[in-house]
Amino acid sequence: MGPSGLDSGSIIHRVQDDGRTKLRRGSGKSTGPASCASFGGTVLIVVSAVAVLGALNVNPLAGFVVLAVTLVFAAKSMSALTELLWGAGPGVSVSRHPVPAGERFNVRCTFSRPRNVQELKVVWQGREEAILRGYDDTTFAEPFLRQELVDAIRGDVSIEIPRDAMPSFSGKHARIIWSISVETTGGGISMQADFPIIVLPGRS
Amino acid sequence: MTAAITLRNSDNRVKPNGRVEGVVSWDPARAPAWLELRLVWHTEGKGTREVMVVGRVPLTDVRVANQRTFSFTLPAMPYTYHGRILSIMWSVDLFGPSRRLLQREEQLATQPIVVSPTLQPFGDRRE
Repeated sequence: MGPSGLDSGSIIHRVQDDGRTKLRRGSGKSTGPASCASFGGTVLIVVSAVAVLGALNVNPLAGFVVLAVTLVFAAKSMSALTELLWGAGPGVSVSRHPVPAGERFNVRCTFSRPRNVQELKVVWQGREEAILRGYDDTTFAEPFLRQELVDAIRGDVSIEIPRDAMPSFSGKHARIIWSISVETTGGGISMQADFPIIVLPGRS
Repeated sequence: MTAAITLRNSDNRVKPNGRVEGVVSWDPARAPAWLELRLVWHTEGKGTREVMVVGRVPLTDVRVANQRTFSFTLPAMPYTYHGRILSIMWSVDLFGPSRRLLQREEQLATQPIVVSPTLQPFGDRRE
């Protein structure tokens, strides 16, 4: 990110054979048993690691490093496992990427595990994010545009980005993010996956 | 010290990639050891304040001259934005040494500008 903060699509996206771009998944969150299992599993793995390190009488510094690596690995693997068990495996592809403001693109949603979907909501949204840095970072998010894409499950949906839309922006503590958000509910579990889209300044 | 920044474009609105030109003037009799003009954007609202210096012009011989013209070239982004929890503001600022003990420098003058392709701020609170 330079002084302009222009988010010009530094994330590498995969272009499929049909010319569409498969978006990379950004943030996600889950509620209900999925998040409990994810948290509980992570705690269990870390506690087990502490017990093993204690029994082996490992050097404290090496033990700390091993625990930190274990924590990251456990959190990622448990998150992936719960997503595999309860998630719908959503994927989003777009007809073009990045997209200049004022122009149109098509969105298509796919699900690798459709049996896990009972309720589904696909939302095109723009939001502001402000990060309060401190001992623990706090992220404030406020959507300024939220549009439900009712037909996104059946096929392509066309979206026109407003001409006066603020382009994607990424600073150290502030961001403007445009994304396709996929929210699924099934078996009392809600999961949300965010697929950011880069919006460029409009052509004049 | 009294100082003033006057932009050539009197409405203080500039398009991205455009030029910000003007004159900065000060009183040489009361001028400090150094002065620096900066083109800056900063954030306001929730979250940690972010300040990005995009351009700098160190002013020399500030105790001899009393004004100087300047010119900055703006980047493509970000636009001036007034959102719900976040604002992005542009300005041309004049900095000099601080008179406070634990502060290295202080702002002596500022001139806010609007950077936008439509010459209007972006965002929900743009009015």
